[in-house]
Amino acid sequence: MSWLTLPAALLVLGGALPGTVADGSRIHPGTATLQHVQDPVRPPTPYAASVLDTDPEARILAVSILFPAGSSRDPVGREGTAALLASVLRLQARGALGRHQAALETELSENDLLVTLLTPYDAWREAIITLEMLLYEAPLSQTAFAGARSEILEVLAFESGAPVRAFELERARLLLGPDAWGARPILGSPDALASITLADLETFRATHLRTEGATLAAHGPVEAAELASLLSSDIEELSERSRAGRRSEAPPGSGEQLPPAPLLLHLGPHVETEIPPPGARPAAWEEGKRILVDRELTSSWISAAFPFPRETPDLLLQFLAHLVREELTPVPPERGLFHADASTMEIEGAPVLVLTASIDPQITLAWEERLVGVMGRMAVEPPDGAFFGLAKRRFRTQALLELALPEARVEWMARRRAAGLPHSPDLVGEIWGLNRSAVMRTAELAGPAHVIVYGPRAMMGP
Amino acid sequence: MFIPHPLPLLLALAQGTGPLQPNEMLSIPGGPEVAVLRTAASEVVSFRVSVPLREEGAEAGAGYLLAMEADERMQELAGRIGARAEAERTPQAIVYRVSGPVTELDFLGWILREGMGPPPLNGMEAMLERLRVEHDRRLETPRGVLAARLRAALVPAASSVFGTAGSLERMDRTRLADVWDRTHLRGMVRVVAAGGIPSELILLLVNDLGLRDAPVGAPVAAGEETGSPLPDPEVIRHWIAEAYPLLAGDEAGALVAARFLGEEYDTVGGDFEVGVEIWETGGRTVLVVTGAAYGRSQEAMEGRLERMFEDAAARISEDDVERLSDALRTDVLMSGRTPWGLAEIVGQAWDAGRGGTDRLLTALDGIGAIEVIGLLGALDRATPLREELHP
Repeated sequence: MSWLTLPAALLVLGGALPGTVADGSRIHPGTATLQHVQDPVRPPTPYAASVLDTDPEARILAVSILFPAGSSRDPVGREGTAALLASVLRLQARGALGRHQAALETELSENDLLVTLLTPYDAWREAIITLEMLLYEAPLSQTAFAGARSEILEVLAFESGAPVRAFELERARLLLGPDAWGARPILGSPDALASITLADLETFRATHLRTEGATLAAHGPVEAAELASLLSSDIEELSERSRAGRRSEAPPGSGEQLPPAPLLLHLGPHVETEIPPPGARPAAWEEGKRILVDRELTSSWISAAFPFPRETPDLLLQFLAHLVREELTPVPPERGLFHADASTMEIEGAPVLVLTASIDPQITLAWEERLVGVMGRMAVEPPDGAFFGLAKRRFRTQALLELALPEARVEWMARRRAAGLPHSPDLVGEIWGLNRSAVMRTAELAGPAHVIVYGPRAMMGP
Repeated sequence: MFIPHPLPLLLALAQGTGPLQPNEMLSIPGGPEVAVLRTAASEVVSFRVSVPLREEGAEAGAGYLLAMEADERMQELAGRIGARAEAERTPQAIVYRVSGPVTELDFLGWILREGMGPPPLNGMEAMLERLRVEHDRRLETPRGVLAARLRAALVPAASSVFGTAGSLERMDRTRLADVWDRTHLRGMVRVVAAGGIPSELILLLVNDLGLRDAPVGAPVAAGEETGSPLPDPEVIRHWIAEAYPLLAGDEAGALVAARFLGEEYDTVGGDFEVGVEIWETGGRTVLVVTGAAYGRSQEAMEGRLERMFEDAAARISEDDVERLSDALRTDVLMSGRTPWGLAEIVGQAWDAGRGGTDRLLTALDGIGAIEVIGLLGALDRATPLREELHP
């Protein structure tokens, strides 16, 4: 489970393969014929925010662009438009970015679309130019459109009737409201997809994929000035690792020796995290609800979602989720438990911690009690002593290993910047500053849970 | 069917300067040698320690068993702090890998030390039994048997890293301890470190691995391989495997060709399967073609295999070669985007004994259709080693 805060109903739409295109070229839909142009494409206006974390030793440049428009912007009756566009961009990128050995991924949620580019150090300029052409100018390809629709229809057919998807939809309706966009399938329906045209996608792109609302984050061996000139945007540097006068064409690792990086030892200094005061009210809802959906299935699903005050620090909530997840999934696993997880989400900017378990129907009610009671247990008796210390170290390791992936790092940077959170936080120090008292006080702030129990009612027992 | 995996081959080949060249080589008197790759922005460090191992005769499988046992131990320890850790037997070595925060350097060193330590006195029997079952299961499958036969024909003197029926039957703690004792030595081990930490700390960790200068125990005679029959599994399709040894310098072209052939046969219709792989076995690089067909399609399959290289040579275009070589290059660079990926690329190339990876990246950058067509023509004219299985 990613420690990154995920918006509601996140859907990952997968990766891309390289194709062929020459520098500064236009792509004509449906053909591989290329036409060179004199000037590279510039977006009409700068990005709302652009941040760069320079790493002179990186072999890859990673760039994420976060557009604040997701499936909630699908036109009525054309649900799945955003998903289809995201897939088209990904497929079209195969034919456009491959010459630069670059890869593109898209990730769509109810509220936003994240586009991430990975490109080798020696082809990054051409790759970015090509990416921006794809996003803002090049006509969408009919071939990619047909392929994307076919892909999504296959997914819908495969998942049709899948209990887990039905459970997720019921849960979304409970948490977000039955008419909320997040309670509708991101991929749409076969009928809706059949009605969407390429012109619809072009309209969606022109309306919502605009630089003025988007956040760009980059990590890799580039200088801010170079990136700024290419994007026609100011670049905010998150670190001072860039080296003035460094030859931009030299591959990393050659030439001069770098001074050793500072050693990050956090056995002592740490960053305290501020907790909302006692009595701070949960934001997403004030009264809990419970629903039981009776379905003839061979397993049960339960979800318990806890609202927290708006000011609850994200890192603390992530850590609380980590502790709960470890409590629910001991090693060896408990009998009758198929899967359990804890994650965080936001509902209109208000933090919510969501617990989910898939279990043997016969122990459903016992597990419901366990999930509903977990915040109470954390408020009184979280892990202590060496157990707490080890849990914190596991949390820190998980976060750092995940951020060692360039694509995860730029996504994290983009989302933080878009949310107005501080740049380049001392993550290691912040994690080390988490303490047991903070966990207990935060758990006390949890509001009443929304609970959904989904499975065969007749088989559920104590 | 079989999926061509270019990475081991890619890593074996190149030399020169470039993005995958170590930033620094540390030479400790008496060993080991340490390659250091800097990743300034990462708070994560990765270590890859390889212990070269070539088994003789009745030792076959010892390295695999040592790696299996070490892997369990390392993962249990790593789980306490959420670090990545594993041990694996590769064609050339036993490889121990750890990754985690720089702030956990001591713990990472401990995981490596425990993993690389002598095999325990207890618990090996259960693991040995697992290995025997794995071995038997492998030889119950047509793929497993064909692979074993081809390997034996290609490199008769080489032992299977998975062991043989005979070697596993006679494997015991004494033999395992002997293989460990004579290989886990300071002068033999290679270390790759990737991350943003000072060389001094890398050296401290390496010095603390508990490596000895020389074997302690008396050597145990390797023993002759007594012979392990390869069974004829029951099959319902006709199976063919053909091996084409490659020359040094052919490798970039072979990778591109293998990918092209793999794409072609992903889309082939009909009743039969065809696959293309590249193997590295006993120090040789080999292109292996396989096919499986029901009786009614056997002739069609064999005809297809016979024309495979000729047809590919006629169809492959400059655009195809450019696309595929770009994709291969991308695979290598993308796999090196993390500290552990970077350590693995450099370490694999080092183990294969042919220097760095960058030369292959250069070769892929410059390859054209004429070279690939030339290679396909040579393969078409060659007489492969061939093994078959029939219902």
